[in-house]
Amino acid sequence: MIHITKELAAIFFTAVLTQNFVLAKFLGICPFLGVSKKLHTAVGMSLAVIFVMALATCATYPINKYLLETNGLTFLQTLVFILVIAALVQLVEIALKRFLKPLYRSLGIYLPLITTNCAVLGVVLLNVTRQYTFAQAMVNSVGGGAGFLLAMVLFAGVRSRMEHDDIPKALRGLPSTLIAASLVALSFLGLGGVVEKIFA
Amino acid sequence: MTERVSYLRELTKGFLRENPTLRLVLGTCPTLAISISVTGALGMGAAATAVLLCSNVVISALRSVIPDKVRIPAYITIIAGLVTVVQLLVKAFLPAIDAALGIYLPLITVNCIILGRADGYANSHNIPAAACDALGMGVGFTGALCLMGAVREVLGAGSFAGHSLPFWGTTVSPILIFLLPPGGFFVYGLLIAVANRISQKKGKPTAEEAGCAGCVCAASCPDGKKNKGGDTA
Amino acid sequence: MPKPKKTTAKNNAIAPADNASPQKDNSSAVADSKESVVSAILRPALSLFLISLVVAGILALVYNITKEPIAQALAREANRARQSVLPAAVSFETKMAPGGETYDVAYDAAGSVIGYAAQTKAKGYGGDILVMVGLDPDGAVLAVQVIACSDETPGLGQNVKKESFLDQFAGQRGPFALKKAGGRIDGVTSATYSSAGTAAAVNEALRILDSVRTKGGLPS
Repeated sequence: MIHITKELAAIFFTAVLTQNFVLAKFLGICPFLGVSKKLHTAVGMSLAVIFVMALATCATYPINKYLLETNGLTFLQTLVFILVIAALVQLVEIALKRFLKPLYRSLGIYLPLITTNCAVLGVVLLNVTRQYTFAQAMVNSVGGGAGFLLAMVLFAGVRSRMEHDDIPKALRGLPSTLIAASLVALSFLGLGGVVEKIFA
Repeated sequence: MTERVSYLRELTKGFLRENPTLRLVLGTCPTLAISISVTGALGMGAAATAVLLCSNVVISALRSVIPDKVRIPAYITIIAGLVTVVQLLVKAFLPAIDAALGIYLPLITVNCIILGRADGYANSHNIPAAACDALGMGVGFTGALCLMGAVREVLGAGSFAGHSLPFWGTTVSPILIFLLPPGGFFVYGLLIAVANRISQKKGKPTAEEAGCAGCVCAASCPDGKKNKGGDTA
Repeated sequence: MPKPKKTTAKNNAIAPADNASPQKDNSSAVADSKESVVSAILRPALSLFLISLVVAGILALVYNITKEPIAQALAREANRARQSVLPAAVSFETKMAPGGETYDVAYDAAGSVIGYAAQTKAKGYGGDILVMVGLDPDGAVLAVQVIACSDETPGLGQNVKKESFLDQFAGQRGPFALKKAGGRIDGVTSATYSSAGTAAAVNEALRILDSVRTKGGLPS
């Protein structure tokens, strides 16, 4: 039991810290650059991503294991996964709108952006290629989403401080944002070995 | 005659003027992840161009058949299918490229350049124009990717397309950070800055101003100017 | 049945503003209700279904065409890895170790055993490191190859693929440990976890192969 907990904890913290989805694996860069200007949009987007990632893993894991793999249809994985994600995003949006108005008001606008967020399809594909069990896949998905949240929150903080800086004309806008992202990614390099030391 | 000129224009606009990577800032994930070597960049560029060309042609051919209401899911289905075809072919005949691209190969499905061109161009233009557009965008993407790959590989590993360069590694040691994730963001930022500088001199908008508009999600993006509320197709 | 105005707004929410196509739907709503049910729900659903069907069919076709070449490419890759750690081998035979792991026995042209190979993996920095280890009949390492380490950092952890690191194993007997841990292997600079993972995978291969070697499980 302790062994399993340790293993799951290692997967979680690897996904959050050392193999951060955004800053090490470059998944979900578009929202990372586009929606990180303000803290509350960054948090809203990230929560929606965590939610959809967990749901997508829940849905695609059994489909892959009991439908595709047993029937030798693994070549349909990408197609089925992206359609399941697209359908899920739609369903979640409709459900939230009808039953949880307050939550819809805070997360709803981010949902349509998530279908084409490569972090969601990425985590589902990673779970398959790494041959994770269901528990491992879920932990990896939530960890990946949490890593996205961490990167977004940190970056929103960095950007709010850059807003009034006097930046050379050619570097204004995206270039300076990317260079700031580079520095945030640099700080994550310093976390190397942390997870292994704690959970090995 | 005028037709031919405009096709040429459709073809070349993706090279520089509307370069998807440096001007429209689309498909950033593979750009950053794969650009650690020229070979990988070339493989990703070729795979994405193949998918883009096929998807633009197919979607342009089906533009009057696909009902408007379900066009996005329909495009996603077609693109995912094409990506899988390319993936199977690469696995069978170029296994080294498959190993180099890893999960970024199936992730071409959600590369915004492809869905963006499908919804922003192919569904309102005829087949030859859509094909020209796809080829131009594909070449522009591949070119920018290779440029970034070259900068990162030469500075970070001291080699070019796998061949080691003179002096690097002996007289001067390579600057490893360029291969690591921070180096990716840094080089991309500088390349966009250079592109901005050039276009500013010509009095054209910077990458960010031209940017977002090309993204399928632009209209529902909370940071975009044209936020139409949460209701989506 | 959605009103035409709403449909247009819906489409615009995800489409770029310059898209002219939402106009198409407007005509259907003016028609009588039965027809608009068809055009509002049935036609989109049916065409989406048809597209999925065609795409799935094409995929099945391509899959069947590429199945054989993919299997061949995988076999070639496996063979290349075995051959690289046992260059003198002429043929291989895949067998099952007592623990359920597979390993390969290498033969020379005369049919006598000249070594063993096993593929194992161990945790590196970001994920698993996959190695192929070749052993001579006495149990000394002939060569080590890293087959996959795509989750390691490029330029750091992925340097475990380099000969300068892997050559340290050749001609030695295990178990192996890094110098930091009191062993004799020099780790790759700034990639302790990837280096230790590689050594652990080599040790695992030695464990599997020693169990079949010392048991006298030599096939004849």
